[in-house]
This record gives sequence, structure tokens and C-alpha cells, in this order.
Amino acid sequence: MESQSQQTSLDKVEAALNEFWNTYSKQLPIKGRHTEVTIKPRVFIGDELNPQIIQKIIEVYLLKMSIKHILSGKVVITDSNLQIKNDEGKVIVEISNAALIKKIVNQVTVQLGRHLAEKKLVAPRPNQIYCLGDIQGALVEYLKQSEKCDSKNLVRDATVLLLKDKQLTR
Amino acid sequence: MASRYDIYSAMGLTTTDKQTMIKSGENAYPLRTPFNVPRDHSSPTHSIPAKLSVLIEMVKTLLSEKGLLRGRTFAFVNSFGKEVSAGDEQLFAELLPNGKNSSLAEIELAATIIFGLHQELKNGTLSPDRTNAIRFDPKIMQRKWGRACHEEAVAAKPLKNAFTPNRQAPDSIPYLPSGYGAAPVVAVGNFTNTPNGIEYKDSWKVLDELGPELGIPRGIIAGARREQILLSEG
Repeated sequence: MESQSQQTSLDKVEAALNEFWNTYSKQLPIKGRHTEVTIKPRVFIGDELNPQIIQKIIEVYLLKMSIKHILSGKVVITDSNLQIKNDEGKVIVEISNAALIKKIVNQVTVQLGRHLAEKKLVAPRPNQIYCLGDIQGALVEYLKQSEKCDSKNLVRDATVLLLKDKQLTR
Repeated sequence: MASRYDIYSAMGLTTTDKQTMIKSGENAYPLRTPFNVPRDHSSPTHSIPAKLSVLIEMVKTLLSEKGLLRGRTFAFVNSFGKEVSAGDEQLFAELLPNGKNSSLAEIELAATIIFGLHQELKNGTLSPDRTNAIRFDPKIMQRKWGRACHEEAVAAKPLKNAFTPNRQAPDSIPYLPSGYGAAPVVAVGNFTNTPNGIEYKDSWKVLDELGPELGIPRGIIAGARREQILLSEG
């Protein structure tokens, strides 16, 4: 077996991404009579990384993101898409997948609720799960504050999205 | 092609087990289909749609392994030349005409064909033609691979170190001369965008920016990027 020192960085990245895939992929093995077949994507395709793996990285990143990512401008949510930016503010990923955006918006709603509860703008709930109805008023108040303290317009973006949410229009 | 001994090794059997299997011959392996799909319909993990998605992944994997997805996505085209969406369960309409209502035997047959296709691609006996289309006859494929493909199933695992950067689909391997023309066509189309509404320009940039937050050290990503550039520059 190749020793750790003989591994190139490409090998190490490949191993790390394989481990990442094993951790986060929910693919089930095909069960045969005597064996199981597990399908894994290749890490590299030509000069690029496999789109399947990149897609999984993006999904996991979004599911793990905190409210800080929104406040710092790394993740921007609008009503039509979701963008991930780098530290220089350049867009590196743009997402138009409605199902994924909805999932992230729900996640953001809960995180905003927790954030607002920390700031004592909403009453904390024991299970720390918040829906739009719980935080709507506080969110608008927070939006005003965030504009004053120049924390970019990201919470506003999230709020705009939340206000446009069907739950509100019903 | 791998010997039975190699296959059993890959399956993780002990030496004694392997010798027993080989001594007892084919009767020890009374397989007619590649998979013994569990008959427990109550289990959601064994539902037919789940199997279909697995089959789709298998085709993606085998096309990836041949480097056919390099800079491109793939499309499936039925025998009438109509493109079938890759994300659609009708993808296998040619192989599974009854879709979700396909019987387990039909699914097993489709799996057999796909494994055969996989092996043909791997062996180089089947390759894309000038239009990047791979043509195969499911019946021939099933006849050729029906018995062996369960054992070969283990070969569907990604082949370590089989990939070299800049590897292209082989053009020099002759296209099968006859008997493979009238069947479903798997075609490789032009790359348009990343499927599923996730768009990016540079996959390495995405890994570089997001990877460290997911536990992949920035140092090895940067090193790998440098190595990859050196390799692609020859």
C-alpha cells in the first residue's frame, strides 16, 4: 500500500473526497446474493472534479451554513436564486434549484429565529424551531437595525424572500 | 477478462472459499440473473424506483469511467432518436418499458444489460462512434453477459488508479461492425450546464472555497490543483 508520504496531493484530495462522499452520500448499495455493489462517482473527470461530487459539496455546505454566512455575504438568497460568494464577493456558485432553495429558506428561517432569540427579539422556544409566523415581526425590526448598523443587505434579502413566501400570502 | 479466482478475490473471499468455489464449478453458482433482488416489497429501500435510480447512477459511473463525461453531460436517446431526460425515470423506458411497474425480473434483466455494457466499454469491445453514440443490442448483451455478470458485478466498483488526467474516450477502438445498430442508443451530447439547477464555472474554485469548511484542508487542495495543472500541461 502507498505510504502517507508517497501520496501526492491529488491522491490526498481524492481520498478526502471519497471519505466525504461516504459520509454524506445516502446511496444504498445494490444487494446481490453473494455480494453488494456500491456505486461511487469518480472524483476526477478530465481536468475537472466530478459534478456529482461538487453538487454534494455545495448541498452539504448550504445545509451546514450558519447565519454568519448570510450576514457576512457569503450566501445571498434572493427570490429567484441563491448565490455563494467567495471572500472577495465574487459569485462562485449560483443555484436555481427550487427545491434546494426552499430547503435552505426553511433552514434560514429557523436560524434567523435562533439568532433573534439570542438577541432577545423573540421569545425563545424550547425546541429552537421557529417558523415565519414566530419571527416575522422581530425580523422586520431586526431588518431596520441591520440597515442602521450597515450589516449589508443580506438579512433583508432573506427577509424579502421570507415575506414573499407563500405562507405569508395565504 | 478477470479469472474466477480474481473475481472471488475481489469479492473478499478467503483462499479456502475460493478453492471450494472453483473446485465445485459453475453448479456452486447457480445464477441466472445478476441480482437476487429482495422480494420484500414492504421495504422502501428495495422499491423499484430506488432500483431505477441505482441503474441510472451505474450508467453515469460507467460513462464517467470511460472519460466520456469530460466537459460534457450525457443524454439518452431512444431508438427513434428522441432524447430522454437523464433525470427522468423514463430514462430506462427502452430497457424497462413498463417503468415503475416493471417486474423484478425485468429490472434484473436491465441490470444484466447494463453490466454487460459496462464490461464491453471496459474491455474496449464497444466504443463510441464518431457521433459519440454508443449502440448496443440489449438481447445480445443479455445473452453474452447473463451468466457472468453477477460475478462481474464486483467490477462495477470504481477501478483504483484507472484514471489518468486528460484521458479521452478512445477513438481508435473499432466500432462493432454489425448487430448493434437497431437497439437503444446511448448518446453523449454537448455540455450545457450542471444538472439540477446548480451552476458554477470552475469546480476547483468551488472545492477551494467550500472544501476547507467541510474538513478538506486548504493546503492539499492547493497542492492538488498545482499538480493537476502540471499534469494537464504535460
